[in-house]
Amino acid sequence: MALIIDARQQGAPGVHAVLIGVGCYPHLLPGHPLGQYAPEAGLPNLESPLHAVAALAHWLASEMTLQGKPLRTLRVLGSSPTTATPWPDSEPTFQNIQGHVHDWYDDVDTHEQNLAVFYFCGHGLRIGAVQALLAQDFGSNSHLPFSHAIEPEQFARAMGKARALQQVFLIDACSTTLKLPEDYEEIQPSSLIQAARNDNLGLTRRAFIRASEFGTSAYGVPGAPSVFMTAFLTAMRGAAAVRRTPTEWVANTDVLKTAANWLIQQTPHGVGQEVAYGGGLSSTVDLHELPGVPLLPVQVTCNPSAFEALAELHVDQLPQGGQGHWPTNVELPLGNHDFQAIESTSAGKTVHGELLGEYVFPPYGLVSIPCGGTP
Amino acid sequence: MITVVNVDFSTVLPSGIAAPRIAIADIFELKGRAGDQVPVRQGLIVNLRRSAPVRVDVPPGTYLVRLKAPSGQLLMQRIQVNDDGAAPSLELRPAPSQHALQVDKFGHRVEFGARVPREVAPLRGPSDEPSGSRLQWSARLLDQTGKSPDLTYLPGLPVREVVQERQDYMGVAKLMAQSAPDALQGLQRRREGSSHLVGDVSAVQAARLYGDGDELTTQWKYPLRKKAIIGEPSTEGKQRRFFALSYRATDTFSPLQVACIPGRWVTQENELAQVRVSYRERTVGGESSRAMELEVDDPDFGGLIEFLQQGDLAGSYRVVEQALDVLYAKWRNPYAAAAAGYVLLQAGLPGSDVGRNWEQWLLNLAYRYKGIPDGAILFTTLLLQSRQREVRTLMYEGGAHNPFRTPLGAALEAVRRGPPLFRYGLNLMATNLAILEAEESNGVQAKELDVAKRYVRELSLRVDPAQALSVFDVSA
Repeated sequence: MALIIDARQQGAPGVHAVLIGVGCYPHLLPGHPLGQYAPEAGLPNLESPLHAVAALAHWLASEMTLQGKPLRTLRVLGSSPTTATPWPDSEPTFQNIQGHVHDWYDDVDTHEQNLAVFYFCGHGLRIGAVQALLAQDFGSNSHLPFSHAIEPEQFARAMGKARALQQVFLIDACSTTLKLPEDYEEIQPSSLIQAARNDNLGLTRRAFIRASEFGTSAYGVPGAPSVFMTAFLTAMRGAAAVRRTPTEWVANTDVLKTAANWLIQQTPHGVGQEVAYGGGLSSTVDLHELPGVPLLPVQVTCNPSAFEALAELHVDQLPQGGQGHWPTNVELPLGNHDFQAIESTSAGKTVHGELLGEYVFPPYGLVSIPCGGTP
Repeated sequence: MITVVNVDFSTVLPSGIAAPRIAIADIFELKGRAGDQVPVRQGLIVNLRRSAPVRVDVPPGTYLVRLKAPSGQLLMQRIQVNDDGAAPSLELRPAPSQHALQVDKFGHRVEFGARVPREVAPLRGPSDEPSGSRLQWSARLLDQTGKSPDLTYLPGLPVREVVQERQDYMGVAKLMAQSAPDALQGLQRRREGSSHLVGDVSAVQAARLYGDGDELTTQWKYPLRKKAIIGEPSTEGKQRRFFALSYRATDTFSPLQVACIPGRWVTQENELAQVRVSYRERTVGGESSRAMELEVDDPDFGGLIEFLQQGDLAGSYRVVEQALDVLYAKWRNPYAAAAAGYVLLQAGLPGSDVGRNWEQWLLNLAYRYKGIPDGAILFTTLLLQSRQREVRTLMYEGGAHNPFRTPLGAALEAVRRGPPLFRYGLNLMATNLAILEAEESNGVQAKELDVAKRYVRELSLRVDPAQALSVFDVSA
C-alpha cells in the first residue's frame, strides 16, 4: 500500500509527506478527448516521475532531520512505463490520489507543529492562471475531458484550514499552455480538499514552489529523477542552507528556490527551466537541519577559459577531474579554499593560475581563476 | 572610511530583462579561518530606482554582502573593510547603469523601465508623431442611449485613425467602466464574448503609442485626461480602478487584452506616478507571443509590486514593514495600501498601531473605495480565513446597508465590483467563494454564489500569471 512509513504517535508532531509521480498516461493517445485543445507536442509517458518520488522518499526516510519533527507518515504513489513500481496499491489514478491525500490531510490536521509535504511529478497543463496536474487516468472520460486533474493552487489554499502551520508544496510538472476553450466552464480541476473557514492565514507558513515557471517545461531525464528533484537533493546537502546558530545550518525553502534554480541552469537538460514561487505569496519554511557544514556547488572557471582545456583543476592541492577534463562544478564544504589550474607535461608542472583562500558560501560559489600567459 | 559595494544587477541578469527597482541586502561578517558567517544586518532595502546608497557602520574586518532581486537573482561580494583610523562603514551603492534616467538614441530622456542591456525604445522620435487630430486623443463619454458599449464596441473611439501600419495597427485605449448594482444578475444573463468582464464602459480615451517593431509603449499619469470625466486632480477618497485595452484595428476591431490600471497613483512625494504600458514580444517556455505589460513608476512601492509578482513573502514584507505608517496613516495611496494588505494578511499583522486598527482600516478600504475591488476581497478574506480580533466592535458605515457585515455579503459585493487591480485577489476570492459555496449549498444565495464562482473562474482562466496587476486575454 502507499503508506510506506507509519510512525504516528498520538499527540506528537512530525512530518507527513505524500509523494505522487505519474509516469503512465494510458488514455493520452491520438484522438485524445482534448481534441483541438491538446498540446501540439502531445503528452507522452514519462520515466522520471517514479525515480523522482523514489529518490525523495529515500531522502525523507533516511536523511531529512528536523528536531522535534521526525518523519511520521510517508505515502508514495507512482507509475512508470518502463519500471515496476516497488509499492503495491500505489497507482496514481485520481481516485487513489484523492483517497491518499485525504488520509494525509487527516494526519496533517492532528498538530500545529506538523510539517506537511506534498510533491507531484508528472504532466501539467495551464490555461491562464489555472494549472491542472494530470492524474494517471486523465483523459479517460470523454464527456469531461478535463476531469481527473488537480488544481494545485486551489488545493494548497484549501489546505489552509489544516492545523499544521507549516506546509510545503513542490510541483514538479510542466504547465503547458492551452488556449482558452469555448467550453471553458467545464474546466474544473479538483482541489482535492474542500476549503473551509479558518483563522490560519497569517499563521500558516506555506511555501509553494514550482519546478518551472508558469507556462514553461519541467524536464526529466530518462531512467533518472527529474532535473528539479536532482537539484533539490543536491541543495539539501548545503546549497539551500542558512545559518541558524554558529553551529547549526538549516535548509529552507527560500534559499532552496534560489539554489535549485541555479543548479538546474548548470545542467544541459535544465537550461531554460526556472524555479518559481506559485500559489500567491510563499513563506519561508525550514526543511532540513544539516548534520554538519554545508556542502556547496562551486563553479570554477579559468579566465581566459582556454586554459580549461589544458590544465587540471586542483582544489586544496587535490586534483579534480583530470587534465583536460575540467569539471563543470565541484562540491566543497563552506569555507576558504585554494583553487589552482595546473598543467602537467614531461617538462614538469606549470601553474597557469591560482586563487588562494577563496571563501565559498551558500547558495553556490562562482570562482574564476585568473590565468596568465598564452595557452 | 567608506568602503563602497557597487550594486549592479546587469552583470547577472539575462539580456532584455528589466533591472530590478529594489534589492534586499544581507551583510555578514566572516570570522576565523573557517570564515564563520555572523549576521550584521539583514533585510536591508536597497532602492535601485532612487539610486540611493545605503550605509552601514561596521568595524574593520571581512564581510560578505549578499543582495537578492525580487526575481531571485543574487549578487554576492566579499569585501574587506580596513582600519584607517576613521569610523569605517560599508556603503551599498547602486551602479549608475541602473539609473532610471537614460538618454536614448534620439537624445530623449527615458524615465523608467530601462531594459538591460538592449537599447531603450524612444518615447518620441522625429518620425513617431501619430496621425490624426488632437481631438482624436481626447477622452470622451460614450453614448449609452443605443447599443451598450463594451470591449468590442466603443463608439466614438477613432480606432482606425489612431493606429499606424508600421505599428501593425496596434492600439491602446483607456477605459472607464463600472459594474452595475445588479452586476451578478447581469453576469448570469450576458455571456457573449468577454465584454462582461469589466462592466459597463462609460468613457474612453485613445493612448498615443510610440515605437515600432519590437516594442510599443505608452504612459500616463491620469487614466482619462479630462477633468469633466474624472474630476479634480486633488480629489481623494474617490479613487478607483480603470482599464487599458489593447487592440488591433485593421478592417475589423479586435480587442486583445484588457488590464486593470490604477486611477491616480500618488507617490510619497505627493506626485502622480506614471503608469506605463508596453506591448512587446515575450518568450515563455520557448514560445513567443506579444503581450501587454504594465509598470507603475513609484520609486518606493514599485518594488513591492515586483516582490508581489514573484510570490516572495519575505521580500514583500520587508518593503511593507518600513512604510506601514505611510501606507495606513493617510488615504493618499489606497492602491499601494491594498498591495500591502495582501502581504500583511499572509505574513501576519505587525505589533503596532497599524495592527491594532487593522480590521477597521480594511473595512474602510472595502466600503469607501467601491472602485477598487481589492479592498472588498481583503476584508472578505479577513472574515473567512484570518484571525479577527476586533470584528465585533467595528464601525460599519452605512449601517444595515453595509454589505460587509457578513462574509457572504462581503464576497458577493467583492465580485460585483469586477476584476481586482492585483491578480493575487483572484486567488483569494476563489478560495473565499469555495468556502461559502460549501456553506450555502442549499441557501437562498446559492445561485448568486454559483454565478460569482463562475465569474472568478473565468477571470482566472483569462488572466496573465506573469503580471502582478490583472491583465486578461479578451481575444477569444
